[in-house]
Amino acid sequence: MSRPGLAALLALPLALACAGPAATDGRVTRTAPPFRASGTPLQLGLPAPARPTVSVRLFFLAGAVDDPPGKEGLTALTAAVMAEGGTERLSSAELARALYPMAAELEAVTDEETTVFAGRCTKDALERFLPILVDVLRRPRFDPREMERLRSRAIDAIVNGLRAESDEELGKEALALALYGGHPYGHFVGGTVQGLKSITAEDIQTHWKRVFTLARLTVGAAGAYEGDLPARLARELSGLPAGSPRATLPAPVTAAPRFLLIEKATPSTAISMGFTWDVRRGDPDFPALVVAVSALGEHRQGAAFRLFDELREIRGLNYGDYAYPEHFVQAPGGALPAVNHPRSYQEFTVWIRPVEPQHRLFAIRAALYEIDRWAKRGLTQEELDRVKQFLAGYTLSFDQTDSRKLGYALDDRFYGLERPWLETLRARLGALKLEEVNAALRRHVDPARLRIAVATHGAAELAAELRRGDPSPMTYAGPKPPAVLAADEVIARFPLGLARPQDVKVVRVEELFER
Amino acid sequence: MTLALALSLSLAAAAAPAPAPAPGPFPYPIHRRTLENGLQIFFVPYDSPRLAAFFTVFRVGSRNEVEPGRSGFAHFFEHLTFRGTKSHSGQDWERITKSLGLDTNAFTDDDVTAYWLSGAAAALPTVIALEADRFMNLDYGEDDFKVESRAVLGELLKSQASPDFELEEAGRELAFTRHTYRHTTIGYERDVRDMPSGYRYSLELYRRFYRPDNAMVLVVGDFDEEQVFEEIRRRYGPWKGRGEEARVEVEPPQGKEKETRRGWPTPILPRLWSGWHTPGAADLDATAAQLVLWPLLFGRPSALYRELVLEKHLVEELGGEFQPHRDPYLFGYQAILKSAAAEEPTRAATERAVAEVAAGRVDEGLLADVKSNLLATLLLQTDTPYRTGIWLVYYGAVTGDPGYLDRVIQRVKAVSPQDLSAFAQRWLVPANRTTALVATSAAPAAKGAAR
Repeated sequence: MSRPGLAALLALPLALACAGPAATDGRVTRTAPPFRASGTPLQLGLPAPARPTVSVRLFFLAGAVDDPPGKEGLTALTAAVMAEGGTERLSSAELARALYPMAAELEAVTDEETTVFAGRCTKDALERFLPILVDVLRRPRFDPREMERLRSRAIDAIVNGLRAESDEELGKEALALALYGGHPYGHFVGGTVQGLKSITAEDIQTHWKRVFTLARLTVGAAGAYEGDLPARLARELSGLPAGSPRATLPAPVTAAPRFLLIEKATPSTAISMGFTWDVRRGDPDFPALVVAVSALGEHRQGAAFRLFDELREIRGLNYGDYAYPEHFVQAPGGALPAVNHPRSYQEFTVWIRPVEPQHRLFAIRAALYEIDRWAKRGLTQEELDRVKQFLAGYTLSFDQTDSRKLGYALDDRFYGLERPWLETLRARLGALKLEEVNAALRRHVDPARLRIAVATHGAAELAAELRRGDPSPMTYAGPKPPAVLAADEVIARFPLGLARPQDVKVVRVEELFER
Repeated sequence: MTLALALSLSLAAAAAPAPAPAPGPFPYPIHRRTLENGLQIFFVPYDSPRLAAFFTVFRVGSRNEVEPGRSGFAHFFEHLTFRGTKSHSGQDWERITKSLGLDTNAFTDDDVTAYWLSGAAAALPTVIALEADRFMNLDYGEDDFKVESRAVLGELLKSQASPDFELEEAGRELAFTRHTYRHTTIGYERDVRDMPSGYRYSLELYRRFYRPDNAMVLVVGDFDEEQVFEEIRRRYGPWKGRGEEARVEVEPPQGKEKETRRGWPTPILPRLWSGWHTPGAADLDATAAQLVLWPLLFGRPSALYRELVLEKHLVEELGGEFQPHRDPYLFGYQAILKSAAAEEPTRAATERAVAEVAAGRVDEGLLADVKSNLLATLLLQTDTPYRTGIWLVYYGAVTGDPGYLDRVIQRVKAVSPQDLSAFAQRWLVPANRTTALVATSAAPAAKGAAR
């Protein structure tokens, strides 16, 4: 009885006042990676003939940043109409039926800068699958009823989904609005309610011709194919419009207040925090930061990592607490990062899973306290050694399947890397010194820059507590070691980074992702 | 009244390797060994150079929670196993497994609790030593127990944010009157909040169900089978004790149709769920019929999906799935309705679709496609040692034998329209059906109103 997860989607340009000591960053992120300009699609092949399956990824530099103003959500909706809405030859129902006996996978995943059409089938089914895949790209049906159905679904995903059914996703997407307000990343990838409502059938067809073009396409294939499958696909897709590369994106400048509180009728409190930073794959400091952030809170890997240990394991505050060195989307069915969500501009984020409302202020402070200690004191040698060993092993599973291998290779191209990112990371792990890691932390992490999004019931009360700087003492049902109680004394009064009332903004959930 | 074990475990004392069976529909061979203490071991050789996944699987889940007020304890106990032993504290376990670069976690369901570590095959000797120690010598104090209970509460809070959880809780509670499938795996909120009082109960649960004859070890990947077997024998061999059978009550026949409605305080699309009581995994024919019938009735290629989702736009998504259970469970679907007005036509269309099958009008082309899909799915979804193992964990837990998966798929190949018709006539009848609906309500919700 589970619903397919919320498609990754939301957005609102928060017109947030930029003020206060923690408000305007003035921090400029480096320029975007060098995009190529080309009239023919790039090709990437990773043949593995002994495998039982074939993966294809058609990777476009087309994402939510391409949504025209007032038409937020257009790229994701266009991709959905292509992948699900049928082709000239097959109606939507016929398309589903044609893929079914093969159990072939075909999905479109849109992010801020990219959309990937990811397909997978058994080796035997490849010749039946490929013509369908090519038609999805070249000859979408643009059936008005399907466009309406998918548009309505996208609106529901915001109104009835994101706002109503997942506090955790709400917290993360609200944080993104705060970090990127005014930037092309500043709306939810799935769109806004009003943006989606204003999209016409003509908009979708025009957008298809504008962004899903040869100039923006890389064709990738991996697994049990014979011959030059990428070249064959490139030929068969050569009828797509030539198009032109996307303009370079500006660097984000965060102008939101320290706290964004979302009022919502919910029994628990979801917390996300983070800031943009000027590092990404390919930068000399990035491997060191990946190691440092892993030590703070590797995604769903338990109590060997600080936030999880301190907040959940020792204090029982919630179900889990994690940190991320780049934009993170979890791959379905596990804890691994999903491939093909690359971004020119990256972020450091922390996810505090829902806490009981009476502990919300303590939980916020506990996270801030841990981040502060981590940033200022750095890692210990023992911790560094352990995390390096962990990543050396864990990252072997990152490119374990053909499909993921291909995904990483495409992301390497996005970042303009000569040497594959995973290879670089694994090579650097062995040599990283404690001083390097802790120096990178000092260079790139300033806890004062953190923005904090909180989805909770009683946001006004929390805002008042934050503004007054009320202490937030913690009590437990059982005894605790003296060291924990001593730390709690500090946490209960830990500075919240607020100077003025306007450093806290309260919004109702209905206001988010509206326009 | 207690349920007899659906399928008896084979507890042969001999540890000699069984001859490698010819691969069946499942794409990889499954090699079975047994220790004298009853522990069953399954090896699946898999082409994943230097990588392997290691599972310890217990045939215990929320099904075993027969005592009032203790729903959710099997899952809670799963959390507690990470608190360590006298030899290796929980912190040690975490640090050692992470130093080996392993992806680790565990999950609990109605019939199963499974623990897995995935990563470098070279780590297997250490993994085997750690895991055997954890399950044989678990040692946690009441303070740790209380702290961990709050992590479970946090997990519940996360789940409760979704109306899908409310729907599942409502549907189970109404459909079952006696059997423990009437509560969700995470448990009732009142029981989760009361978990700190159950320290002694948790120790009993450990003693009764965490025993070698109620467990399986499964290793999938690239490793030397004899060496790994010797390590398992050395570490898990000294494990003593016999598991107990949970006194799970048999669910009596339903007799008449049931229905419930629950409110939700924020704007959502209404959720409709309907489920019919159907036989458990011991009935191979019924299991094969349900595996085929679910996609045929409710899946994306079905006539119902086309009508409700694609043509009439009454339903945003038609979902659910059939999952075999150890005891008789439910065959059901969930519809996310586009509006309250969509409820009646959706239910009527479903009624018609079921009646068509019962009348023997089955699309034979679609039936063939469903069978092809199942076989192709097995290939596509066994692309890592972990994903391969997960199939065997579930099918092994409901019967005690992962090879059950092969037998079911083999049986699926022979399912005929007549079989489906007979199944629908026997089980998919109104008197056997429960329906639940969760929808936005201006009035406070029936429970959890403050959410």
